[in-house]
Amino acid sequence: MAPLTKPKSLGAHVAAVARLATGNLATRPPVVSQTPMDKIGVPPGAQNPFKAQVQEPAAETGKGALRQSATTYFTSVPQVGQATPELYSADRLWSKVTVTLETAGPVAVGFSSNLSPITSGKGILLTTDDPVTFNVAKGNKLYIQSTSVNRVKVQVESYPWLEQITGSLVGLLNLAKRFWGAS
Amino acid sequence: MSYPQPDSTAPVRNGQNFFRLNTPMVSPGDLYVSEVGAGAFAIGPESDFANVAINYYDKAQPGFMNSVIVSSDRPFVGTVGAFNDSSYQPSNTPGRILIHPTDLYNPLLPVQDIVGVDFPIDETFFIAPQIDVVQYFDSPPSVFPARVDKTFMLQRALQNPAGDPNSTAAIIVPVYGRRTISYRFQPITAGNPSLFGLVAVNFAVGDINGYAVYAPDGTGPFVVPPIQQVAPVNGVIDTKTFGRVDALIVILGGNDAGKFVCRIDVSDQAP
Repeated sequence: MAPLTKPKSLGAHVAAVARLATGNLATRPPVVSQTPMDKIGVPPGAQNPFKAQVQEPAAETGKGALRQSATTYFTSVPQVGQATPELYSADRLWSKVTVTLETAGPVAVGFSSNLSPITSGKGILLTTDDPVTFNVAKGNKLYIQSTSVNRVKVQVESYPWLEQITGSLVGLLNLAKRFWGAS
Repeated sequence: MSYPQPDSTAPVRNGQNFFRLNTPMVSPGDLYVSEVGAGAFAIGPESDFANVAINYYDKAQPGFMNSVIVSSDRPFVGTVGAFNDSSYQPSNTPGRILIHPTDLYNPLLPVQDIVGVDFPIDETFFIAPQIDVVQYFDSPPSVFPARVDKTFMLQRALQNPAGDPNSTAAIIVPVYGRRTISYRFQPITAGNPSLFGLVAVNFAVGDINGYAVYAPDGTGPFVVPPIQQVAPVNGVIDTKTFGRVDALIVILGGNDAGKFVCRIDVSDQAP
């Protein structure tokens, strides 16, 4: 493959990025460096230590993104002053959460930290034996509220291919910025 | 009312899809609570009561309470929520589902007043009626349970002192809403008669005695006058003509020599 050179026009630049994306895997240079992220401190590769940044999506799927769980959640009668219980806190870039009410309810599920009163419309009222699916992005929390004891099936599945696609797109964008910024 | 009350939340945690309230009544004011919501209610198979009220939280009603009656002929299908964090007004009690029979029950029934002074009753026994309600958590079934046919076998109800042939006992048998009530009394010791009598009663509100008596021909309280029987006595109470009854007063008496078998069969099926 010909070495990378500075393109002369925007169209040539886009074509160069496309050739890079579809080039031979054996000769194509790595797009994104795979550096583990420290749990504390400034993430590696951060441009500005005074600006909050999140780790870029990984182009390869890590083990954490493949975690799945299937649990049964038992709701309880809310007590005075008790915070709305948290059903799921997104721990990966994208996750698919399916909740199914097995009893009569009423049970409300939503992204608001306060779902009371339960018939206020702040959350979705679940219907018995009718699954509801949420695509939860990282940083979001799913809350649940009920006025009685109920049984709720909770399935958490991952979208590893979605993160991989997102990671590849971000890599391409970074490469485009590198060339565009150098012009 | 049984203590402790049946726990309505235990079936939810145990993975069941219904809660069954199956317990004998003790007093007319027994009230049971359910802390979980329901998709349907039905009379259970072991119930003696034919009609049960389901009270639930409804903000559109005065006092925030609405009520529906389920019977042995008619279940209730519909989602009913248990709003434990809300309160009925003005009592301010939690908005749980409240369950109680609407059929009247009088454990202080004055049997002697009913049968009259000519037939002294030495002891009275009540067979406590059973309340059986099934609360379904999810989609109601296509077939609801029916009340099972019941048989009450009464033998040697009173072991009277030796030599006293006149001791009698009255046993009150619950038969709420049954379409078919048949009875059979049979002395089983040849030559020794035993006492047998039968009264059908409906409980009423307002009267100081709290009862109304069903009389087959309007002349007296007895379906079968209590007399010494030497031969079998069989019969069927005509509920089609005179309506359904709440309970039977079975009057029995005998001595050590006179043994008998008394059998009461009840069913929801028409004769």
